[in-house]
Amino acid sequence: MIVPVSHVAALSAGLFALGLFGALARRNGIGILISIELMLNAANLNFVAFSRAQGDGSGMGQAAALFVIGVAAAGAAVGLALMLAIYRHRRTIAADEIDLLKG
Amino acid sequence: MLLSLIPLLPLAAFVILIFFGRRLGKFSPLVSLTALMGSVLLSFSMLGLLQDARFAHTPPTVAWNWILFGGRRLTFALLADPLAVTMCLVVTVIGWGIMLYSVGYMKGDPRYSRFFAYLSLFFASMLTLVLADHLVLLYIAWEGVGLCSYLLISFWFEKPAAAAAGKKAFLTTRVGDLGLLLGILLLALKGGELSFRGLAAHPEAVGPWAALAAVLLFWGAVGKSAQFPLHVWLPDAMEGPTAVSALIHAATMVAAGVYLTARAFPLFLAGPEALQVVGATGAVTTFFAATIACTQTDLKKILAYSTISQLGFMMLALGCGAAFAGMFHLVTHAAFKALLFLCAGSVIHAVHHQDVTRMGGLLRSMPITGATFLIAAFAMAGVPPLAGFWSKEAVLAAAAGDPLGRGWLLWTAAATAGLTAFYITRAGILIFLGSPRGNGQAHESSWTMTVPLIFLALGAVGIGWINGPWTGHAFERFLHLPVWAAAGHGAAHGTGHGAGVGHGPGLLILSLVLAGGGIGLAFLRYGLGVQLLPERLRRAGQPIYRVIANKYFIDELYEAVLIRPFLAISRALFRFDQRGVDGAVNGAGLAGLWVSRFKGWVDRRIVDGAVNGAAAVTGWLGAGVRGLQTGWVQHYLLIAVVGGMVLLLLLIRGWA
Repeated sequence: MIVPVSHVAALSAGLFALGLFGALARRNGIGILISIELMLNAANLNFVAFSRAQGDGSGMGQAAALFVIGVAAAGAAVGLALMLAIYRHRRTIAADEIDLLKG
Repeated sequence: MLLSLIPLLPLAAFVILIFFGRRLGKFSPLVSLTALMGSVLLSFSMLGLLQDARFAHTPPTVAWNWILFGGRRLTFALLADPLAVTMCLVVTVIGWGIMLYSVGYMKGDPRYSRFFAYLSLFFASMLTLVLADHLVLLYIAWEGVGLCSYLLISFWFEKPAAAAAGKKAFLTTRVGDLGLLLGILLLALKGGELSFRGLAAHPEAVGPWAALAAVLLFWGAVGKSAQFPLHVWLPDAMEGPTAVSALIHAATMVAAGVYLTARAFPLFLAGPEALQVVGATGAVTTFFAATIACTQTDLKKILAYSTISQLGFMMLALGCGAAFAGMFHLVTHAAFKALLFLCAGSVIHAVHHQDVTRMGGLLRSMPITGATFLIAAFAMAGVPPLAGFWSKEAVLAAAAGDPLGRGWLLWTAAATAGLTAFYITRAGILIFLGSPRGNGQAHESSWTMTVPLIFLALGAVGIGWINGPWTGHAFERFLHLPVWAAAGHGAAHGTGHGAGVGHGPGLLILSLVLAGGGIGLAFLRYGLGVQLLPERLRRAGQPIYRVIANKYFIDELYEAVLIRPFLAISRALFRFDQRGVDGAVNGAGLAGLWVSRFKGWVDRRIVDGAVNGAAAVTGWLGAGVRGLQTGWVQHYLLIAVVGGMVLLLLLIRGWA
């Protein structure tokens, strides 16, 4: 059974919306990071699906997905390190309590 | 090069003392004494060189080129001819004795090492003056000794009298220095030689200007040697330490005028009219200063007027064309007058005042000082065979043999010789004989002071013998000064025999009678208390006596005629300066102030306003925009997302 691209796109859109909501609305810094991972993976899903649907066999989309996973791992590492550093200084990782750059 | 060390050694001592004197403390005299001893030895070695036949006609010299301009050359040239070496020996040998004396005399002074620094500077200047072969170098040294004289007269500047005396000495001699400068300039302008050797070789180079140039040079000598009418500074200069009076104002510096005249003598011979001026000045000075010396009661003032008188005596000899007689008297006078001053210093040190009428009987308590003073006094009076006898006789012989036949010069000289014997005997009797008149406990001075006294006493006894007849007038042959052959009105280098024409037993008897008469009368009057003049004559002479005792009122005359009008002019100019010139300057200043105030207003209101306005606008904008910067990371993300969605919408609708 071949799953049509539209289904995958819909799933991906839903996943992205969930991630976006989480990134904008969660107070916990770790939660924001997780939500960002969700959005990245929604994009990955699109890459893979459209690569397959295109059917030229080049696998460019899948390569892009692999890159995104790598970059996401690096991003997560930096993000967690930032969270750790902020926690050490301010004893909190609540996003609305961190406003050091307030003008 | 050894020659240049003669003045350089004392200069080095001066430099060391001025920088390290405080640290050297009471060892300071060692530095100056050592340096000066070097100069003494070098001077003697120069004397030795002059005995050498090779140097007989070309004396040792040193010369550096200094300035070259317009084909004319100024050189730092030193010349050790017999005249200069003689003067060098006088300065260094007598100077060394006086410096040794100062070690004791200045003991305990707060500026002890400074004193020796000044003395060393004086020796450096004086020896340069003596050895200089060039008139410009001589002029520099001439001013140098003037400066040292000023520094040393006002050495105790806490005393207002000493400070004033230093100023007076400096300013009065400056009047003379102007003449010297003008003389040098005249010589330079008229193409004359400025070096003494050149002057001796071509004295006629300036032609008819020779007499005027010679008179101008002599005008400088008048100031430095305290001749009438510029003599007023020397008596006041006695405010300085007595050692300074002995060194500078008796033996060496004041003799510089006589020395200059003798040194430039070929020029005087080229313009013989100048010798009239020299002779007349010398005669007037010597007689009138001798009369003042008879009336003074301040010991140092007596010696000061005596010095003026003796310098006039030398000038008189020079004015008669006998340079040798003048120089010979200079040498002997340096010895006995320095000795007189040092004895006076020793006495003053012991009794703490200078009034001869309050001394007396000091011979018992101060035997060495007393004996040496009497030797010096008799030397000056002209008692044979002491030094003064020989040189005084030479001067009298010169006056008697005056080529212009001015008889009054001889009579003035003879009268002065008598007066000299009288006043110095008077001083000696008042100080050392009779009964004490309130001396307190006088006692003999320490050995550093008495040793120079004995040393100089030997000089005062024997220095005249160097020209004794039994030596064949060795000193005169050694100096070899030009003499005046009047008939031809030209100069001739000759040695002659004796100093003049009328050199016979008559003159010898005259000289002995004068000395004996002066001493005898003084002894009668002050030793035995006999009134010399009948009562009526004394009363009649009272006003004359008062005039003389007040030094002919010359100081008062200068005060009224020169100083007061000068001060009045100065005050008027000062007032003009204050009202007129200062007013203009202050007006300009005020105008500048108003302009500046207006500019300040423009600057504050307009320029600063623009700048501040720009800053304020920036501030308002910043305040408005800062609300965007909340610092919340999610806020920024929301804006990015909304922005992205807007862009997407535009893209989809095809508006972008």
